[in-house]
Amino acid sequence: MVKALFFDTGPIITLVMSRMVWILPELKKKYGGKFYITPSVKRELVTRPMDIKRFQFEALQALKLIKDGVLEVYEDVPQKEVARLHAIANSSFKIENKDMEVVQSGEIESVICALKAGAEAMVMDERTMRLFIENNKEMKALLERRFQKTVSVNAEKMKQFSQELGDIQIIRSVELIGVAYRMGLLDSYIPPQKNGREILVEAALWNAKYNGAAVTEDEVEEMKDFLLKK
Amino acid sequence: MEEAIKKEILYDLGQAITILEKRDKNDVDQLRTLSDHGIEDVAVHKNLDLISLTVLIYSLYKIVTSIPEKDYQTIVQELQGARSSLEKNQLGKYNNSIKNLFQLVKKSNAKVKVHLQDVMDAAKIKKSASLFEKGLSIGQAAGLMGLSNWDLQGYAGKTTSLDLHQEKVPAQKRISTALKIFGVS
Repeated sequence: MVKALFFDTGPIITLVMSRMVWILPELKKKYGGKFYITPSVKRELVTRPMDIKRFQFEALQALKLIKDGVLEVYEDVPQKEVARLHAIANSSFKIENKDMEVVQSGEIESVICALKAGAEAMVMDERTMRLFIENNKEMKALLERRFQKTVSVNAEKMKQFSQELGDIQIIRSVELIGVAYRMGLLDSYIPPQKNGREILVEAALWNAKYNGAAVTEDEVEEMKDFLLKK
Repeated sequence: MEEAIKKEILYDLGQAITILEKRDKNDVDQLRTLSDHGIEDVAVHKNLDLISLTVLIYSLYKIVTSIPEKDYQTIVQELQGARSSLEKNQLGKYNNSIKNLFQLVKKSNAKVKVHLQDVMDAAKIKKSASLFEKGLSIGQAAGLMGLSNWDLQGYAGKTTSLDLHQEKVPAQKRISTALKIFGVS
């Protein structure tokens, strides 16, 4: 296993938008390994928002992470493999006899690169990809609940996709914030009152959730309790 | 244009015309229902003409109560024109009608000054969030509407979209894994 983490677009967007991106260089120092992004992630994080006025400064913050060497671009993308798994993923579900394209190739690219490089984990907020990898039955249930049309599933393809990508550990932006809290990086924000730590943890987790971290309300509560345990 | 897409578009246009032909207080709710119907077709077919019409119907829903009477009549006529052109497979004329309709929506919106953000952007974000809620990934849902992940993620975080699923890995386990990876106790 290589001392490296691969980042998807979502967690960086969450950290930038929740004004917590400054924890990444500190986390990297503590980790002592590489933080990688793929070219597709760089495109969505930097190249594309540079042309959108309302996200231009956010793009510059992401670019700074690359310039400072906090994030490195992993160029060795196995494109054929990405295309193969993209095709499997997007032919796993059918609605009205048409393939349902649920994920983009860029989202698959990060996971495949992480597996190829032998990375320790993937940092990913993306709910659909995570469900697909970790809990594909819930993925089917989600589609069935939300569409008023019949969803048919190719169980073999769904299983194949989950099996091929299922070896990777996944953590999210909220977990990075939890680590930062336990490292004491957020201590200067503790308000001077009896339950100051509780307020800080709650505020930091909800801040991430409101800025797009894929975490449910119940999970926020569970994480808060866990992080506050001595 | 594929026959299935054409059928869906003609259905949506027909419904929009029926709703708008007689101006009454139910127009708003009916347009919203029609727009919700349209987004399912977008998810299934991923067709630009369908996306465009769905965004248009959602935009109409947002501004219908404040459209000046003269523009209102022109909108109905353009919708009828679009339907007629599509029925005759005159795609150039159909596209012109849709373009004119978007211009009318923009013009009406500017007059009432209700929205600070361009109504079309708002419609795209809203419809994109619907696709995300239905189970498409952020990238896929944003991409279909021509938006960036930044647009959609910021919006989704402020809605209940991120609470609609069940996680398999317990939160405690995931945070424990993260702490272990970083060597933090």
